[in-house]
Amino acid sequence: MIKVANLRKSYGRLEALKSISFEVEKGSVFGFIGRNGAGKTTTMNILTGLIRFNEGKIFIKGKDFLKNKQELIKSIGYLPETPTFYNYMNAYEYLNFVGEIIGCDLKKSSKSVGKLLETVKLAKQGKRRIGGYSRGMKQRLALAVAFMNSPEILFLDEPASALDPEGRVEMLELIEGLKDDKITIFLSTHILNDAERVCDKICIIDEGKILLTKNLSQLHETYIQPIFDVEFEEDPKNEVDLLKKLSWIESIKENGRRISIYVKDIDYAKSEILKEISKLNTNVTSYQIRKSTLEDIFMRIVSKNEII
Amino acid sequence: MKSFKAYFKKEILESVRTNKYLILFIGIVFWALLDPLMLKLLPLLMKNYLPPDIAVMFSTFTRDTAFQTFLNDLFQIGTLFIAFTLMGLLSNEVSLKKLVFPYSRGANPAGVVLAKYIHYTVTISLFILIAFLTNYFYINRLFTGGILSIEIVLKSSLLYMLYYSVLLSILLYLSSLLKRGIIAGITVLVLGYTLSIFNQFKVVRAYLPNYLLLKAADIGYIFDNSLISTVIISFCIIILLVFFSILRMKKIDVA
Amino acid sequence: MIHITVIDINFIITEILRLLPFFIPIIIIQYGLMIFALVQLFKNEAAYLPKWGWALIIIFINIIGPVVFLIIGKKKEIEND
Ligand SMILES: Nc1ncnc2c1ncn2[C@@H]1O[C@H](COP(=O)(O)OP(=O)(O)OP(=O)(O)O)[C@@H](O)[C@H]1O
Ligand SMILES: [Mg+2]
Repeated sequence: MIKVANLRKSYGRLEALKSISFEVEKGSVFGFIGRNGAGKTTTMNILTGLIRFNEGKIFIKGKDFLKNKQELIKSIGYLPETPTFYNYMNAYEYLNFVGEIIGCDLKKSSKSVGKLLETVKLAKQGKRRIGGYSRGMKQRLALAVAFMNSPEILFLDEPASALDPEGRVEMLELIEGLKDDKITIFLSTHILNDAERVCDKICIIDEGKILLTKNLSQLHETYIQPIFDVEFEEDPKNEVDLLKKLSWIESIKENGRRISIYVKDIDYAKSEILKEISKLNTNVTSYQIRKSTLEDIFMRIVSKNEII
Repeated sequence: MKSFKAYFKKEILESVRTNKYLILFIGIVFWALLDPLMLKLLPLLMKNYLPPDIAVMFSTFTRDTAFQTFLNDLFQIGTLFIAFTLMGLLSNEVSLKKLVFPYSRGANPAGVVLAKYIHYTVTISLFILIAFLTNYFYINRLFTGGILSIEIVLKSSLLYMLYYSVLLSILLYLSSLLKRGIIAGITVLVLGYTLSIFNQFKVVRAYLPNYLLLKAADIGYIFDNSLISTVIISFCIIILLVFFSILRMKKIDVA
Repeated sequence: MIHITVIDINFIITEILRLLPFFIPIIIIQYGLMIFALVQLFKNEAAYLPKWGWALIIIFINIIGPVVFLIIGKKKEIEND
């Protein structure tokens, strides 16, 4: 559905995207994750035709995006990071305005405008000026705009960032529902639990480079390595350094009295780790083996990138 | 065409809700009322305080000179109002990221630019017509003498409309070029005022838009052959600058 | 030097009375605009200056005061988000 090859973008001397390539299959949810300033929004702005780029090729629905922009853009909906509207309009007026640009049948659109506002739970406030909306309300309205004319591809840039807990859950359900409708979704988010729940494919970007693109199931297989969480009675301090010296331990994340141990050989670790810990000079209050979550995988990959 | 219609309606709504119509109306029409009254009243009140020669000058105002005074004031104050009300025409849309949704839903930049340009040209032209007619009405009641007629007033208003259309196209282009509207506004103001200086040089003036203003005040000889080149050049400027604005809005990063 | 004769005053007064109707639209526009701007000031947040500052400008600077307020003084319209 979307194919990006060697995409480069710089803002002056800052290279925001350093030749990235990836592919998004039709009807899948593509999770785009990365730290602040990694280049997520930049990528999405390029793929929605809002900003130019320096190099690279983009194909959407098999067609060259640059050459067929006006046509392709009709099948794209975008929920930007910080949506801006004409503040003097109300939600109905704004949606009608966008409807007119898209060229939806106006009678049909004014009917569906009401429905759209109900879907995003804004029907009650629809007649109020957008200038007075809260951030979450604006995000809901932005979602309505992105949904207009039922696009085939949706770009959602941190769609739940301003939403209340209830709204966040609704957003996830909505995305799951869209997946059933065979809509392709390009989702960027900082909430990795959410990404894990709805995404088919995960792409991790850092400092303008793509570190990894994998199906979620593949990802779990490759990075299946469990994590050993150990909690001590007191802050272990230097004791941990003794563990770090062991060759079969990859790394240790310290967090006060708790440490998380990443290992190279699981089976060996299982048999050895308790012995090693018992040699230390502190008492253990809890010990647990945990399957790694997307969050752990993300942390590992991104922190490795930092070392390089 | 879809974008044109959508944006034309949007500009109407915006002008109502952000008081742009009101401000432009005041900036153009108010002086048409105030000017002749002031001309009439001041000498009356000052009669006994002014040196006789100046008093004579004041009392010799005819309908023609009163109209010319209005034209001059309209140019000075009207330009100020127009430049500052419309300086953000395109730059605000871009720098406040208002175009993200419209562009992401396939808005056509040509439609957007044309809608804005045509909307404000029509608005300003309409206000100019109203201003000229009210001014004519007032002048007829307050002054005598001169050859001013409705025909002259209408001809003169046409030239003013064309002049402001040119100015608006310059403002439009600068506003698409610059991030900050205020710079576009000030540039247009300075340009408008300084170009008037060239009206003193017979050789070049017919090739500059400000010659339209000179001819608009040339009661009795408003439309003559010297205007042909000015009018042609004015239309060329408009077409070129609107075209460049469209090109610019096609290429510009809106997010 | 300055002498105003009775005839002069009469003349001036009759002239002013004759001009009075012409002032009506001007006064309506002036005060209408002032009141409109004050209402807007009351209903919206003000930018750059405190509200009382804008109120003084609107009331004491004819025409230009209210217009300047309407162009730059209303916060909601210029807000970035
Ligand atoms: N308009 C701009 N001008 C200059 N630099 C920019 C601009 N927009 C983004 N950048 C830079 O490009 C890089 C990528 O920014 P981008 O907004 O894509 O990050 P992001 O991954 O979306 O981050 P976040 O999670 O905070 O939203 C950053 O270093 C940022 O400073
Ligand atoms: Mg971002």
